[in-house]
Amino acid sequence: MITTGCLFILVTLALALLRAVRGPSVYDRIVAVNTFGTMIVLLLVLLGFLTDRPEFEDIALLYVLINFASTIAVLKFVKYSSLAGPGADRGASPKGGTAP
Amino acid sequence: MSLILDILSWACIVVGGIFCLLSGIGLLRLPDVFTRMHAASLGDTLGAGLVLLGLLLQAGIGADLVGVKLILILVFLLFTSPVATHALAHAALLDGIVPWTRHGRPPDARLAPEDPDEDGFLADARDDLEAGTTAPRPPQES
Repeated sequence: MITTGCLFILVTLALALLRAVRGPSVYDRIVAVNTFGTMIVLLLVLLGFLTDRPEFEDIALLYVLINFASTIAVLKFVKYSSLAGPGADRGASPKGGTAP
Repeated sequence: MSLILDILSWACIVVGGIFCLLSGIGLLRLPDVFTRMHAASLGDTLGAGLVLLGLLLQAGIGADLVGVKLILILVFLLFTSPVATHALAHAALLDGIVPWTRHGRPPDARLAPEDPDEDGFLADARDDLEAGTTAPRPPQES
């Protein structure tokens, strides 16, 4: 039964990858990559049960958080062309760091 | 008792997998960023929730906290996925992507003024296009 779930999720991964390649706007690609990350988490948990290795769940736990942070980071980079925030490339940043 | 748990767990995992598959199909076939986000959220909530619930039924709490980790994954997923989707929809809307409606894309719908316009969407879109503001603009940073 776990194999069936793995199969469904693998097909979903292929469909999300196709949308990420084809997506007309950058937001389509971000949605597809976000879904891809969620499905990877589910696949990791299922594989941990399938191969009887509970360590995979720790990786999945970490991947959930990295997926969220990476989505927000890519979104911010697309929106402001910089990870430092709006207006950071127009002059010195408020904290004295170097602008990219 | 163990058989009942196995059957329940099997049903949860398979139904969750089917929901994931539906979200993938929707991601590929729906016409717009916002509708695709709607399809993606289906897999994030029902798909992930049912698959993790099925595995939780099979694992119990377990010796090395397997069930606790499953619940933690579910909680993190349920917190982060709506936040990411909301930020994405907000950014897409601020970027000027006009949502798809049943009249088609608003620039195409503008070309057929004889269409029935019950909810006034076309008139609003036409006014916005004439005024040059097809979408709310981001607030100007000082």
